[in-house]
Amino acid sequence: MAEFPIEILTPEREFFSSDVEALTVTLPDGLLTVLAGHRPMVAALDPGELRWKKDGEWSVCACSEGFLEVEPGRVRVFVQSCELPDEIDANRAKAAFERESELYARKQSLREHELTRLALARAMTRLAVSGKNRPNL
Amino acid sequence: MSDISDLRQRLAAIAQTRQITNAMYLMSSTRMRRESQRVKYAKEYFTRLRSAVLDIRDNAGGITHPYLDERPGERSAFLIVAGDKGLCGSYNHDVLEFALSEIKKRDARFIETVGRMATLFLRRNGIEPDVEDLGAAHQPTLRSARSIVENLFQFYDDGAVDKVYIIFTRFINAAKSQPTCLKLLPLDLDAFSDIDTHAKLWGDVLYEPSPKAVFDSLVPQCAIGLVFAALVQSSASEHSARMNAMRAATDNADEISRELQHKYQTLRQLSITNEIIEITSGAEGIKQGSEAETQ
Repeated sequence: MAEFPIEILTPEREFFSSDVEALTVTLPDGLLTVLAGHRPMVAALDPGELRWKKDGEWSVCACSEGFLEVEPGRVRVFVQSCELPDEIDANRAKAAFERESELYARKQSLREHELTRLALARAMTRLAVSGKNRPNL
Repeated sequence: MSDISDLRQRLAAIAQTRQITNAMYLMSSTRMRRESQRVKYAKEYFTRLRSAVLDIRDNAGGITHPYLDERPGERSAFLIVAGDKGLCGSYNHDVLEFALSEIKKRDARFIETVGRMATLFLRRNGIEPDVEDLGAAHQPTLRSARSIVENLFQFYDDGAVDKVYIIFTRFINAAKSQPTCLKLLPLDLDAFSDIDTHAKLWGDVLYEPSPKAVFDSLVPQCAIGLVFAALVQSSASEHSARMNAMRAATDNADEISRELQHKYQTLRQLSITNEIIEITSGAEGIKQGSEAETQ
């Protein structure tokens, strides 16, 4: 499969930079996979899984909100945080999940609701990617 | 004699202090290097985010966001970033004096502080900060930036303030930093002329799911990125100020201990000479006495 270079940047570090065959990100309305030769695109990312395929193997990580830039010949992902499965603090994510899901059920202003939704999505992604303590949905 | 033991004690004390300042120097120089690395990433992140937002604003047309609209009125919220600790030269003093003059110039309705020194300083000047953010100065994280933004922007969303300012120390290089007041809200995306907008070379761009949705999600992220960059720059400035202060302190300790060592050796030599004189003159006296006896 044709390869293309991707870069994943966060405000704290350069998370990943390499040639890959495919990149899958989470958009507000579902998953999107970018292959080589994709047309120029800018997309907003929701907190969720981010996967890339390199040498026939998929790698997965948990990222929070950010955006994706597809330029001819290059793809860049800017996310607020990005963690590999073994970097995730599953206990913290679990605590966050419990806290936020309780908040989510409450009556909130539209703005608070959106903040809670994002926090909950971050916690759920971390739990799902870390593989332990999957939330029982 | 007491002079000499005093000097000996002072020399030992200075050697101990020097050891501490030297250790602090080494520590802050490592931290400074780490933070200045993070300054680079934070800046890169914000630059790209901003140019993506600008692209949408300039090309999609008619899209706007409450965070970008100017509001009449001067009611302001302030975020003041200083350090948790002293012993860093004039770092805290510079940024806090600057903050005080900015606050007095404007109609401050809400003040949030980062760093213990900021809170103490404002209290000394009769201003009680409304919120104190603990821990964000010591180790700036994205999480602390996010919670600060959520806090501050609530007042803006509720219409309690018209502007949000952030006062921090801009990190220029290891030897130079500059207290800065930046308008966080409404976000003035054209204000950062030092950051070059990337040239739009690739024409027709697809926005997923829609330009408006991308825009709405990117503008708050821009603000978070900006606050994070400010926290990191302040922290880098603090460490570089501490590094310079501690290097100066170590140099001074070296100089004082050299002077004292010199004084100590002179005194010691003097006392030895005196003792020898006493002994020889004593011996001379005894010799003369015994000679007189035999005669």
